[in-house]
Parts: sequence; C-alpha cells; structure tokens
Amino acid sequence: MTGFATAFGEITLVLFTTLAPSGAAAYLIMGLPVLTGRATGEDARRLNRLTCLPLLIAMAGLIASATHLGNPANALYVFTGAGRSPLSTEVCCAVAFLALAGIFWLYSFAEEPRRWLQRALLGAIDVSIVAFVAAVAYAYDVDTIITWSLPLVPVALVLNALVGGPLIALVGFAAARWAAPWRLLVALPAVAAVANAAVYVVLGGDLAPLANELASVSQLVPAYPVWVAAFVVLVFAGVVVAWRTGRRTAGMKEGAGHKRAAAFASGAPAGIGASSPATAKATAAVGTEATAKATAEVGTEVTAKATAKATAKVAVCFSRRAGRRAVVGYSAAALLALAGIFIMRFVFYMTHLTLGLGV
Amino acid sequence: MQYGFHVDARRCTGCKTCALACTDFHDLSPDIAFRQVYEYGGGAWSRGADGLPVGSAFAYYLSVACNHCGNPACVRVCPTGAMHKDERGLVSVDADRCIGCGYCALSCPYRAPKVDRAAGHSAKCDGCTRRVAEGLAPVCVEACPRRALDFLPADELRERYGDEADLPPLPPASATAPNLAITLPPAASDLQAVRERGCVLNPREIV
Repeated sequence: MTGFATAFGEITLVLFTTLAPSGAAAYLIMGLPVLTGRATGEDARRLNRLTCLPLLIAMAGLIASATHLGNPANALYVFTGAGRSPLSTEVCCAVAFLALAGIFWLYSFAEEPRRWLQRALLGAIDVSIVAFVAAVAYAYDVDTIITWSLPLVPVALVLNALVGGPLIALVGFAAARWAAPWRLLVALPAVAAVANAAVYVVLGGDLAPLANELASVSQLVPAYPVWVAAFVVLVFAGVVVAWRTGRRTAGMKEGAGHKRAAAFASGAPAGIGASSPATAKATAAVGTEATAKATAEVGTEVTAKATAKATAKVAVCFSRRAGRRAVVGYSAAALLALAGIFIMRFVFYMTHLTLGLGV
Repeated sequence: MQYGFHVDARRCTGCKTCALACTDFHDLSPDIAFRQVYEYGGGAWSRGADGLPVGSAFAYYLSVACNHCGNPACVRVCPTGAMHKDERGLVSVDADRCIGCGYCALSCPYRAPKVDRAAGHSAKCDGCTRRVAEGLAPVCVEACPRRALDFLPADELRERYGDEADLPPLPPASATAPNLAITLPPAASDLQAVRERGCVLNPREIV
C-alpha cells in the first residue's frame, strides 16, 4: 500500500496548492511598485494590466480544484461554512482575492484611473492574499489527520509561496519591462528554498514514526528523501536560471543611459527595494517615450533637481528584446520551481493518515 | 436524543453478515461499504522452559460503521453543512447540499464516510434512520446471527453495555467522542499487549 493512489485521486488539489499560493504571492509582489507609488503613469498602467498573469495562475489552480468536486452545483453552500470549516474559509479567502483582483484588473483599463482607488484596492487585495495563503496552509489542519496537523505543514506551504511567488513576479515585471530589483527577487526564493528544504527534512523526521492501524508513513511515501532531493534540484535549478537571466538581461539596455539603467536594475535604489522617494521619482527615460513632465533625456546629464521633479520613467529600462528574453528565462525558472513544489505537494497528499483507520 | 451502536467483540465471529445486509439494503457498489468487519490479532506460540508450548496469540473481530460521534470530525470540516447530525443524533449527508469534496472521508478516523463518485456526493451509514423512525432496528443489527450488535438511545446504551469505546484498531475515543459501546474480547484483558502485538489481519478486505 502506498499513498500514490490517494495523491493521484487528489491531483487537482495538488495542482491548486501548487499554483494558487505562488500566484497570489506573485500578485502581491507585482502590486508593490504601484502600491508604494514607485510606479506611476504608463509604468503603473502596464504593471496593473500584467497583474492578470499571477491572477491567471492562481485562477488556474482554483479552477483545477473545482474539477474534483462531485457536485459543483451546490458550491454556493460553501460560503455558509466560513469560519467553521477550514475549507470554507479557504474558498471565501480565494473568492475575495480573485474578485478584488478581477475588479482591479478591469479598472486598470480606465482612461484616467484614480490612483488612490487603485492603491486602496491593492491594499485590500494584499490583505486578502495574506489571508488566502494562510487559509490554504491551514486548510487541512484537522486534529484527526495526524500527518497533516503537524506545525511544519503550514510553514512548508507558506515557504512554497515564497519560492514560487517572486519567480512568477519576475516574469510579470519583465513582461511589463519594469526594472524590478531582480537580485532581491532571486535572493528571496533562494533563501526561502533553503528554508523550505530544511523544513521538509525536519518534517520527514516528524512524519517517519507516524502510523495507524492500516499503514505507516514509510509505507505510504517510500523514499521520502528522494522526493525532497528532487524538490531541491528543481527549485535550485529555477533559482540559478533566474539568476543567469537577471545577469544577462540586466545589461541589455537601450540608448546611452545604459549604465544608469543597469545600475538601477541591478541594485539598490530601484523599484521595490528603493529607499529614497527622490530616487523613486528619478528618471532616465531609457527605451521609452518621454512624457511632458519627463525631462531626462537619453545621453544627457540629469541634475539632481531635475531628477527629483521628473516623473518615474527610470523603471522602464528593459529594451523590448531584453524584456522578451527575460520573460522566457524567468518563465523557465518559475516552471522549474513550480515543478519542485508540485512534487512536494504530491508527497503531502501521499502522507494522508488519520488516527485509527483512515488512509 | 442521541443513538449509538453496541458491538459485542466476545460474540462476533467475523461472519460479515452485518456488512452484507448493509450493502444489500443500501444497494451499495463494491467500492463503498458503510459497515466493515476488522479481524484483529497478533502474538505467537513459543516453547516454554518446560518444553510445553506457550501461547500469546489472540484474535478478535470488530464490526465497525459510523459511530455517530458526539464531536464528529466529518461534520466539523464539512464546508457546506451537508454532513450534519439529525434529530436522532445520527450523522447523515444532505445530498442536496453536498459538493462531493471528500473532506469528510479524509478526516474521519473510523473510515466511515465515502465519496460516491457516480452520485457526486458523500455517502455513509445513517443508522438506517428511516427504519429507526418506524421503530425498527438498523438492518445490520437485525441481520447479525450472533446478536452481537445493538442500537439504542445513548444513555440506555451506556447503562446496558458500559462506555468502553477504546479498542484497537479503533482510534482513541477522545478524538471524536463516538457513541459506541464495546463489550471487550478476552484478549483485551491485556490491552497493552494487544496494542503492541496486534494488527489488522484482513487489510485487503477493507474498502
């Protein structure tokens, strides 16, 4: 007896718990430049529209999970169990996130969207995302399921989201040609992956002695270390691919503002990680059309005063070609990481074991 | 009002008539069973110092269905409220609310609820609630040739049969407060030995 049949029977939930938390985390990250006011104007418009990417990934997971229902026609009753049933709470959080994100996306097509409204919506979406990821993490925390009610189980899922989310966000940023601090967004999943692997190793130790009257974890999940090794290989391959993509595309700028843009993209003052408001407003209209307010021109020196006054054009420093290459590279990285997460989510369902007789 | 089952593990011979009657009465497919009989045993024979064989082997049968728990995990986790306790305290599925997510089946430590994929909803022992409403016993109780099963209001059940519900392979009664009274088999006089040496001997029969 192995847990393969159980996990295969719940394959749509494996897919859901792989895609949705990472997609939600990516959405949160992609919304930060607009939420913090670092992206405005055309940059914000492009970023806002591309939030559909993590949204679609999260929705794909949710739709996949719905396919395992025997009778979706009764699905509206799920809302009656919010707060009582962990599954209801999870679905309510998911619907709140998807509904708010859908409204935000539609509003991004408004000709003159109100910034305060967009930022307020993003704030609400971020709250729903945090609630959603927490709800997914605790969805199967039932005291009778001895292998799923361990303290490290929700930690592993949150770390999954921190591994997959930034890599998906990098795809979105590249598609929007927004110079996100890629080093930070590669370092975050790298650190999360190390923590996640450590959690899986410790969790393996917690799981190993567990058994009920019909099966033991070692029977249900033969060769647990091999599954963890596959996770480590895939996730770190994703991180390496993302790093190489970042290095290769960070230097591919258009025009004479290459150095400034490269420095911006690779480093400290840009995008999410920026610390100075003046820097955030600084411009280097590389590869973009200058707006009426944008004063910095390619190949000219920009004074500190002019820089502070100029609108945020600096972020768009990818050339279209570099953007395409970055999208492809980061997509490969995200797919590798998601494949690793998928494996460990599959293992999670393989371990299903209750007190007494449930397998 | 709360009903519960009694199982006499001294009388049960593991004939499975109860399971057969249940399956037939509810017209269940082969991959779904509301009541199942566990054969539990262990130990061995060895030769003692005087050269005579000494036996520690034991075996008993336990007929298990839904125990219509006081704190049912399946009801707690059900997202739609389809899994509920009715007016007799029997845990039943409201097919008009159930979405067939299977969360009840995943969480029950007695393996009671099943997901009927063909019907699109969960299915489980409802204590033959319609028969009980007519003043009849559940069909498994009526079918048992050894009269090893009984079904009574919980207080009467406790009064007549006691409140023992902890016997391998069942989970600890503290987990879900089952409305179950077991008359323990002789082997249970040394429960520690039973727990250490015993195992389910017919796992391939279990659905």
